[in-house]
Amino acid sequence: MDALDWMLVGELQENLPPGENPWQALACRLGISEDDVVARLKGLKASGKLKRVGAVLRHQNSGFAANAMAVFLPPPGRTDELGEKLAASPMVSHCYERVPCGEWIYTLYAMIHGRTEEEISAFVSAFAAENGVERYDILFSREELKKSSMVFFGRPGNEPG
Amino acid sequence: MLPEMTMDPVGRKLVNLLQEGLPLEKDPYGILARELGVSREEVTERIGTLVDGGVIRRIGGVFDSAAMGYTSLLVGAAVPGEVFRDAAAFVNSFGGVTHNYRRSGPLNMWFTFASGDPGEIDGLLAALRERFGLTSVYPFPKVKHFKLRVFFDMEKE
Repeated sequence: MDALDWMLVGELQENLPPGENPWQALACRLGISEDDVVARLKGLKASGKLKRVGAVLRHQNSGFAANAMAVFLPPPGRTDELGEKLAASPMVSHCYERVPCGEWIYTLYAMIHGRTEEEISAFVSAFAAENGVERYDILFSREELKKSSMVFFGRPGNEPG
Repeated sequence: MLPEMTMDPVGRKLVNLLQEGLPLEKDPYGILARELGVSREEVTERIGTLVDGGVIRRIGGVFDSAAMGYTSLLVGAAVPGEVFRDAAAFVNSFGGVTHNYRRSGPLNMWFTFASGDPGEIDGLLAALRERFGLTSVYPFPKVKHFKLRVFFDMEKE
């Protein structure tokens, strides 16, 4: 990545400029051509650094009012199988295997979104029952304390206080 | 009333397309407009309404932090009520903390932390234990990811 790529990443961390042609607006800010902006976007995408330029929803306002983190202790040797099954559900947005720590025994984590907490509980308990998972827990979101996008580009005001 | 209940079919499809990402080609809104069968002006107006109405949090770049050279971690902590606000403010003051939630259960604070400097996370965890007298502050590094995609299908039902 050259300096202009980093500047483009810095711009893309913010909201896209308003108007009918966001690439031209970015080109103007960076002092390069629109063609160059498009080529750099494609390059960042091809390298895997940029996943997409798109909308991030404020999901509490989009009808998916409830969300929870479900944690499971899969039976031995079945983590991959159960992880793939969870990942296939449209209610699951993120699913990870993680290292356990301290008294926390769970290793399989899934972020689950539903219209109500009851819908989430029903999904998780059915999943556990169908797959012979005896140890699991559902941690409902009680309060969003922070949600922001990663800042890859040093900016004043983002350093630890 | 939830905004999705008032959204017409074009609005729902637009939200889905925007979540998948803008075409990385010239005239991205014109391409979306043709797909939706509306004008480019209507696409930009609708986007403005979705942002102003709070349905869309942000339209911008979504990056792969590992590909960018950052390591990330989930942290769960048991934080007593009397220090919860101060501990949350301390955690949130770190730029590498992108998400932080209060959750039900014994570990009641969960945050993600990403940094280009692996030593920074140890510093944060140690400071959190010392400043607020916490005993259960656990890092949960990931072993494998099965799914990492936030997509809410607005056209379902």
